[in-house]
Amino acid sequence: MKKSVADIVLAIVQYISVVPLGLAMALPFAWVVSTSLKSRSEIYVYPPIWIPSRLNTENFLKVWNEFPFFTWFINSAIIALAEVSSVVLLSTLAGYSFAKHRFPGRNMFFIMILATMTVPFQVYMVPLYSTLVSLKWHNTYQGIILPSLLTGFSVFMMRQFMQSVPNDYLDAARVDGFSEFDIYFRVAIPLIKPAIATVAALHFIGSWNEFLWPLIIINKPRLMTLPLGLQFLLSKYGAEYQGLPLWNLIMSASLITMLPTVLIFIVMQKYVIQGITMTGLKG
Amino acid sequence: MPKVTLQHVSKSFRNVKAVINLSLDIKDEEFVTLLGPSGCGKTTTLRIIAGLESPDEGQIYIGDKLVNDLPPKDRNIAMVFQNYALYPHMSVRENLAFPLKATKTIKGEIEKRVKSVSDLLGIEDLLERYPRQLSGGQQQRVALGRALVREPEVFLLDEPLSNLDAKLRIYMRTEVKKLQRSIGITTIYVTHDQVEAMSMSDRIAVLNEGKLQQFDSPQRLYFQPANMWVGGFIGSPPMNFLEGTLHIEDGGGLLETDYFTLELLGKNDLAEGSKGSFDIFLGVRPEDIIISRKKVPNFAEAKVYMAEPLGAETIVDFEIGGNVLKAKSDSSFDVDVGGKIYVGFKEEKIHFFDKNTKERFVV
Amino acid sequence: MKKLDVFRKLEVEKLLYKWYLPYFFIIPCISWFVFVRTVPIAQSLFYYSFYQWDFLTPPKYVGLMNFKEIFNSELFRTALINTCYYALGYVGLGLPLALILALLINRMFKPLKVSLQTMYFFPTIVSSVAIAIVWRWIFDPNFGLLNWIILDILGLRAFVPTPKWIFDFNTVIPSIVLMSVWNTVGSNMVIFVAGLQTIPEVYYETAKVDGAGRWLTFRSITLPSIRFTTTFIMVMMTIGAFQVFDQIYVMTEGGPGTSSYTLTFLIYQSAFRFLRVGEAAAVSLVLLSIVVALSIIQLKCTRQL
Repeated sequence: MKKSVADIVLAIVQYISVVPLGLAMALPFAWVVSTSLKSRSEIYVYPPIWIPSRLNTENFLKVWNEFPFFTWFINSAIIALAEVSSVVLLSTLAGYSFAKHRFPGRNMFFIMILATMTVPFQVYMVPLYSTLVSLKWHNTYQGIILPSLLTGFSVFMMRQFMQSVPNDYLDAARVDGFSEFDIYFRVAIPLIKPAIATVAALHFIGSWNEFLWPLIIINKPRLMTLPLGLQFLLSKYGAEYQGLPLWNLIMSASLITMLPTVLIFIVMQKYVIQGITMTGLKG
Repeated sequence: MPKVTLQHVSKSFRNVKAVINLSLDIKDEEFVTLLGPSGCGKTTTLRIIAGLESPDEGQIYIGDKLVNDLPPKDRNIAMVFQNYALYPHMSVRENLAFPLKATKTIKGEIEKRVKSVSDLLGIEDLLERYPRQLSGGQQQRVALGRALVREPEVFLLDEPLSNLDAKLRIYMRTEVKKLQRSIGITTIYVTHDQVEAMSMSDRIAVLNEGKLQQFDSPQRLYFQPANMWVGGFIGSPPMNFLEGTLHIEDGGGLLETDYFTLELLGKNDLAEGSKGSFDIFLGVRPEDIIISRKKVPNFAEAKVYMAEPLGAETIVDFEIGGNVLKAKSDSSFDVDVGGKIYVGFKEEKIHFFDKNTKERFVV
Repeated sequence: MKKLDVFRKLEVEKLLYKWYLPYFFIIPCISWFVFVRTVPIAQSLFYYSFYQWDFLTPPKYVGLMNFKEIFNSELFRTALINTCYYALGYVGLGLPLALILALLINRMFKPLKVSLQTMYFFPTIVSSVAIAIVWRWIFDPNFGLLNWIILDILGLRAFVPTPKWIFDFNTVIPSIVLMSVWNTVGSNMVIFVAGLQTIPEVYYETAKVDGAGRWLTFRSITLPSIRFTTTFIMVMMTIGAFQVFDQIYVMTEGGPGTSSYTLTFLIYQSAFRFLRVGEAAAVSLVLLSIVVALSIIQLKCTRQL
C-alpha cells in the first residue's frame, strides 16, 4: 500500500507527540520519588534538585516512626480487604439471582439499584452519617466499611457476567441434583473468575483511595486510613518545620500510599483496564 | 409397561403455544426421537419430561409414577445438552465425577462408576485432560459419560450431534445407537435432522408447531405418512404434491388433475366397493416416478426443467403445467433442458391426502 | 392444575427451586441498598432539607426557608458558579484530549500501545489525595516543578508573569482542572480506545476505496461510530466534575478566599463546620437536580444528532 508524504508526516507527528504527553504523565511520579529521597535542606531550593546528594531512604522510616503511619496502613489494608470480600460475595450472589432466577419484583429491584447509582454520594452522606452516629458507629471499622459493602456498579457488572454463563451448565447441575447455592458456588463462580478478578481489582483500588466518607466518620488519628493520614501530614500538626510542610516526608508517605494500588494494577492490569472499558461499552 | 408416558401435555410461553395436547407412550429400552423443524416444540417437550419446565396441562409418568411435581433430580433421568456443558475448569475425570457429588455419593462408588463409564465410552485415556484439549467427538463422549454416570432410568438427549462436522456426525450416530443398545436404556432424542432420526430410532414422534403429527416407526413414517406435512417432511428429495380429483368405481378409477388424467387399476389400497368423486392432493416420492422418452400409456407429458447429477443417480426436475416436480433417475439420463419427457407414477406408491384436512385419505 | 396459573402469571420456576429461594440471594443486597442508599437519599431530599438542624439540638421544621437562605447566599452562588466553571473546563479539556490520545495510540502496534496505555492510566489508580498533595507542591509558585518548567526550561520567564496557580483566585479553578484532567485522561482514553476498536475495519476500507480523505473519514465514519461512547464519557465526566471534593479539601480548602468553593465542599462545610444540616441537604438537592438535568440534556442532545 503506497504511503503518501502526508501519511509519513502524520505518522511521525503521531509517534513524536506521544512522547511529551507520556512524559507529562510520568513526570509527577518521578518528582515524587525524587523528593521523597531528599534531605530537609534540599526541598526548598530553586532551581529544583532532581537527584539528591544521597538517597535519604531514612525518610521512609521517619514517616513510619514519627507518625502512626503503620496504623494507618493496617487500617487501610483491613478495610480494603473487608470491602473487597464483601463486594465480591454480595454482588455475585445478587448478580447470579438477577441473571438466572425468575421471581416477582426482579426487575423492580434491579431498577431501584440502578437508580441509586445516579445519585451523588454527597446527597445522602449526611443522613447516613447521622444514622451511623446514632448507632455509635462513628470511629469504628464497621462505620467506615458499611457504605462500601456494595456498589450498584458491581451488582450490574456481576449480573452481566452471570448472564453470559450458558443456562445449560446450570440445567445440567439441576438435573444432577445440586442445590441452587451449590450451583452458584460450584458452577457459576468458577466460570466467571475473570469477572471476579476485575471487580476485586477495581474495588481494591477504590477502597484504598477512599477519602470523603472516612473523613466524615473518623476523627481519631489511630483509626485514620492512609488518605486521611496523608492529609493530616499536610496540616499544621503534620510533617512540618518552621511552618512549612516537609515535602520530603510527605512525598515518602505518598509514595508508600501509592504502592499497593500500583502493585495491584501491575499484577491485574488486564482486569483493571478491562473493567474500565466495560463501563464504557455497557454505558 | 411404558417407561415414559405423556398425557395431553400442553405448554405455552407468553403468547406462543409451544406444545399442544401431546400424548406419547414410550416403551422400556426404546429409542424414540422427537423430530421436527425448529420451533416445533421438541426441545420444550424434552425439557418438560426432564422437569426443567412445567407443563400448563397434562400428566407425565416415568414408569408408573406421576412426576409432574417432582424436580429433575428426583425423576432419575439424565440429560445431554446441545452444547455439552463440560466444565472447563475441571478435568474429564472431575467432570464425570461431578454429578455424583450432588447426592453425596461415597468416594469409592464414584471411582467405580467413573471407571465403568469411561471404559464403556472409550475415554479411559482422556481422564486427566481438560475439555479444551479434547476434540469435538471426545467432548461429546465425555458429555454422554457425564449423563450416564448417574445410572438413570431415562436418557434424554437434546441435539447432541449438531456441533460435530458432517462426517463425525454420521460416525457418532452409530456409536450412540450401539451404546443405547448395549446398555438397554430408554432414550428420548431430539433432532431436526430427519436422516439422523430415521437411522437411529425405534420410533419417531414427528412434531410441527407444537402438535404431534405422527408417532411411528421410520418405515411406516416413510411409506404411510399420516398427513401431507409428514409426507413432505420425511424423505429427501421431498415428496411431490399435486392437486386433483379422484373418481373411484369398483376397485378402479380415474385420477384427474388439471394437466393429465391417469387410469387407476386398483393396485392402490383404497377400500373396495367404494364409489365416488373426491377432491384430493396426491403425493408421490421422486423414486416412485418413472421417466420415459417415448410416449407410454398412462404416462403424463412433461418438460425437463433442470437436472441435478449426483453421481450414482440424477435428480430430474420436470415441469407439468407450471408445477415443478422432482424425479429420481439413474445417471444415464441425458439432460436436455426444455426437452419433452413422459412421466409415470407407480400406482401402488401414490399417496392420497384429503384436500381439506390434508390427512391421509381414507374412503 | 389451576394452582399452576398463579406460578405462571408470576413467571416463577416451580420445579427447579422453591419460590422463596431467590430472595435469599438478594436479601443482603437489597436490604443494604435500602439502608445505605434509598433511605438516606429520601431523608436528605424530603426530610432534612425542610428542617434546621445542628446535630446537637432537636431538628426544627422550617419549610422552604433553607432553600431561600441558600439562594440568597453569596457563598452558594459562588460555589455554583465555581462548580459550573470547573465542570466546563474539565469536560472541555478532558474529553477532546482523551479522544485525541485514543486516536493517536489506536493505530500503534500492540506492545507500544499497551505500554502507553498503562503509562497514561497510572494517575487514575492513585489516591486523589496523594495526587492533590503532589500537585500542591508542583504548583508552588517559587519552588514548584511546573513554574520551573515553564519559566526556565521553556524560557518564558521574560514573556509571562509568574503564574500563581492555586494561590491566585483567578487561576485556581483552571489549575485544578489541569490536575484533574491529568488524573483521569488515562481512563477516559482507555474507554475511547475500546470504542474505536468496535468500528469494523470494513468501514475504513470502503472509505479508502471511495477515495475519502482523512478528515472526511474521521468526520463521517469515526465520530458517528463512537457517538455513544462519547456521550457516555461526557455524562460521566460531568457528573464527576460536579462531585469534585478531595482535591478542594486537600489543596485549597475553597480558597484563596472562596474562589475554589464548590457545591460539594459547601455541603461538607455547611453540615460539619457551620453545623447547618438543613442547608447542606438543600444544597445537595440542588446538586442532584443539576446533575440529573445535565445528564438528561446531554443524552437528549446526542440522540437528536
